[in-house]
Amino acid sequence: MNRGSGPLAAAARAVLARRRRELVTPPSPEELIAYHEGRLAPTERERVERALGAFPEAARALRDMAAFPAVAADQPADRLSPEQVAARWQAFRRRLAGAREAGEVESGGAIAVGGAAASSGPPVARRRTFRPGLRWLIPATIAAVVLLAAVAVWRSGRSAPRPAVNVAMATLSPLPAPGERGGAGREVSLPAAELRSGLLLRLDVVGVERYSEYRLAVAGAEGRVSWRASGLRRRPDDTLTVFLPPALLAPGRYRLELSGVGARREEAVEAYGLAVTP
Amino acid sequence: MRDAAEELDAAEAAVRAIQAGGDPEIHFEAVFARYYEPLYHFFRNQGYPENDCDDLAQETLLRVLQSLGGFRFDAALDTWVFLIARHVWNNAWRARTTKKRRGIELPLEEVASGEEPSPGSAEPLPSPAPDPLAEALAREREEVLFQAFAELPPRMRACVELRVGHGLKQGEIAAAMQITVETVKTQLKAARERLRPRLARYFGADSEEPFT
Repeated sequence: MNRGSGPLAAAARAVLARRRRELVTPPSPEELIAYHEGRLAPTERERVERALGAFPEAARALRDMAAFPAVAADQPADRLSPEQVAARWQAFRRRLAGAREAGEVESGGAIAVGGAAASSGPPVARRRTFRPGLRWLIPATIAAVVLLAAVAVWRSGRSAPRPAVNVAMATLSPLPAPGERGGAGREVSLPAAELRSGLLLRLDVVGVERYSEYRLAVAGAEGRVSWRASGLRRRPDDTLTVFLPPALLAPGRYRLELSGVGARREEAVEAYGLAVTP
Repeated sequence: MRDAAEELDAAEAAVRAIQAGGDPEIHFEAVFARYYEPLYHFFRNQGYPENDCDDLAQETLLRVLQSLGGFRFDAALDTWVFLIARHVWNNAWRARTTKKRRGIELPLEEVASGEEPSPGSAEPLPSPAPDPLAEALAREREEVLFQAFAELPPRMRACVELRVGHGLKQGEIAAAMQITVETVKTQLKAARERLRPRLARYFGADSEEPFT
């Protein structure tokens, strides 16, 4: 989406901002879906069209609905790199593992509702229902009790189960630096062998000015930026969390530059050090 | 890198494998590869913050996986996935409009353009003191344009506002409004003819180009 820069375009944006204030509420997804599917009466359709200029996000939603799945980023900064998508797949797998532990997803993709798997038609492979005759009931019960006892004994001798999220985590504090950007932290070293599933970093931002969002640039020892993350949000405990995919974590020393993004400016705020050892 | 058709084939094969009892952690990656980015951008293009977009895209895909057992290939997989995304979008929209949020993220683009921030978003920093004459002229121009836009028929007005005010391409406007590109061109041309006498005085040569 290209933006005009002339006085007419600028005035038009101001006019539309004024209309946005007047209309207050954008069309709802239901209205937009109905518009998209041609289910609106002419007057309702007009109402949506009147709102499109004031709420361009509604127009973008309509445009993307028509194009799905060929939906591209409007802003170049929103494009995702293959590494980012790979990292998000790993995050999704962890979420999936959690959902499976909670019984929300079964093999075969059946949905679990209220603790019971909802029906799923063909081609899902269904479990065969086994109805034992009465003559098998007593030996089957004894076998089940013995099996459960054996499992209980076996489990009692094992160590605690592995955590569901098997990703290394580390907290970094700002590096000392001259002037106002000085921090009290040190470079943190981690062995590469522990980072095969990526690294979940917590960045300490205590004392850092508040911004609507933060950006992080990861640079190698030679100073070349190899990865950027944007849209980071400060948490109530004055930390930021960011996931570094394993592809970024080759042995070496890294400098992480954090900047804060305000309404009209972006400013470097802190730097952190990370070393990955072979 | 796979093309779109190969991606769809892979996603459909993955769905069948999971329905046949395959492990989602192994097979679902093909579905994720096809739909994560479109879903993420769908939400992002509407102004949701990046982290929320990730959550919404993942939520959609988790629901897709949870519902795979009921998918029988009667509809296209793309359509079915988007039907689920619509539910997630609806829920997110309700949550967004009913919950008052403090410190919501504001796209830089929106602030830099001088657009009105979304309700509940952070206050922009005050700008330097403006030139009173320039400000008065800008206000007068806005008023003229406000009146001019208000007098256009709804469809023509939407085409003009999306093109001139938001810079959407003609093809994007056509896709959004489900009309042909030719219709968009016709609407823009008619609007230019109608508005020319009023706008030329205030915007000079600039009053023509944004309509093309």
